Amino acid sequence: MGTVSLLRSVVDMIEVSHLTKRHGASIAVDDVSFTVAPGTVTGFLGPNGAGKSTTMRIIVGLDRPTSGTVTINGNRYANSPAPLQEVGALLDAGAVHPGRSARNHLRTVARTHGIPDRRVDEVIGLTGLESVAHRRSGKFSLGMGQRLGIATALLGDPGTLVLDEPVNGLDPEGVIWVRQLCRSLAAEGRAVLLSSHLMSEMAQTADRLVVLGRGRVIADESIADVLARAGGDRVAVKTNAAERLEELLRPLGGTVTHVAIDRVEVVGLSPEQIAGAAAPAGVMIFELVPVQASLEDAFFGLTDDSVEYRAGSARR
Amino acid sequence: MSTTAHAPLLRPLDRAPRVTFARVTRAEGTKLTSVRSSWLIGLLTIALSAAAGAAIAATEMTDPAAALAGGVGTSIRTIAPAVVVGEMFISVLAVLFVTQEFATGQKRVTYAAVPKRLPVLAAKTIVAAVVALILSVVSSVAAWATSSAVLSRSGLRTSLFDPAVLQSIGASAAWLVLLTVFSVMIATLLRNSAASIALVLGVLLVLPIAVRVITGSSDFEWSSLLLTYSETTMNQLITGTEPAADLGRDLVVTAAWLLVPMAAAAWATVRRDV
Repeated sequence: MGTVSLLRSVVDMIEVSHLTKRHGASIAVDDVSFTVAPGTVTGFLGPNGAGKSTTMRIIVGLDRPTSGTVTINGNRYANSPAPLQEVGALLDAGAVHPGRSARNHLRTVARTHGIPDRRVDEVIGLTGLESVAHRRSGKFSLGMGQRLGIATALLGDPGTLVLDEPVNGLDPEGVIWVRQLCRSLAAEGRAVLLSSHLMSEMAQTADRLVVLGRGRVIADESIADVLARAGGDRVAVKTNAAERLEELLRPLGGTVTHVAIDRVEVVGLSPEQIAGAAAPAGVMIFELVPVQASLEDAFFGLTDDSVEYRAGSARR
Repeated sequence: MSTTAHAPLLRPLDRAPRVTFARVTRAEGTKLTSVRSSWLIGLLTIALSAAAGAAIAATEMTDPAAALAGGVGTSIRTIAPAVVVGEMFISVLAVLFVTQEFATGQKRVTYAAVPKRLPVLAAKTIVAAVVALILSVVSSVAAWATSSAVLSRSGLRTSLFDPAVLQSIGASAAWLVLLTVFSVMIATLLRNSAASIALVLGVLLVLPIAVRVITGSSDFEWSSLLLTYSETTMNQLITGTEPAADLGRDLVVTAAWLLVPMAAAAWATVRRDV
């Protein structure tokens, strides 16, 4: 993914090792291990209840794990002399006193570390909150609250960022802004861990994916590898003789699925091979389109068994 | 995605940030002062104490001659009860100072910044205690001011700096500081504002009555185990009427009322998930 910027002098990474968290009889996080590498954006995916938020809370010391460790640059988070400089976290954007202004909220956090008001104003500018900085945060829209949460995470100029659903409630412009911000942060050499349900955004923002299901890691690979899992490349064909085409393609190693009376999907053959088989037999092809697997398909394929909360009807 | 020479997102600071206890305390102070409701409760406490002082002075004035004859004692009788106003509001302020962070989830932001957690509890206690001290003294002075104005019509003039008056104000302030620490610990344990306020006010108001009713009239042994007993003994202690033997027991009881919740709150702070 290109060279890592050397703007930062410390190599920042999060290492999660055999993390387990039990609540009585149920397991929220089950032997989870992964690394968030510097200079990359790692996407954290999983159905609701899979353990993503719990894992993120354990990383910043809010929950105590039953077993396992999390280290930030080799040290435990609580032992850092300036925790906000190690990890900037956005876990719950609504976690603000409604009667306090945005600027004062940031100041109450900044002052614990001796971070001056100059930095507070800097993050306000960075997140576009200048016009509402003195407004009481109880009056904020969902998007403004998210921006305030992101501003809080940036206060310490952290080497690692842990962001739980940062695009929740943002308008399309805001969604793009978060994507660019995450990529800029990673380009500066920081390690970014980002959870989201917005698949299309995740596909464009993340370099790697860690997928959780029922508390376990079910995938930990690059985006490209996850997409490849979803069945590789398919080709959508519109033709005048679907059955004849199937007969022609099967001996060549292609798997044909009939989608409509004149449409099929072929797996395992390139468009050139399909056209090459159809033409001499007189089968006409009107559309020949390679279809790339979407992250959504890959995600559903991976997590179908692991969904914790599912609505009643519409089982496929 | 190659490296390009662009300006960093955030300008580096002149000095590296670092968590110190002084800074955590400063942050807690900012939390209290940056919220309008804190100021409102404070002003209300002072205003109501002044009103209470005037009201009690008015009842004293139904017999102006007796009021004048009472001297400094009359004056103290009018300003000391203002502490009851303080008990209500200052304990509520202390409780809300703690519980609002849990209710809004702000606690997670605080503990993410200070993962060692105990400094936050200590800092909150100190800030609450200092504010209680200031509010108590200002309320007492306000009560003295209004009651003096009312009592002066009987010809009674007392100075604010009369030793007896200062002792009374000092004892009230000390009592309210203890009560504030107690409130902060209870709120830390219960995390819920309604339950904490109910418990603190219950200990203050209901428990003494219940003990007296259950044990039959004013049974000295039992009532001495109450936190509120410390209030009256503190007054007596400062005015020198408390026998030395009781002083030891009272100090132990007061310490227990504070130290047990403190230990429990400290344990809960460190061990519990947020």
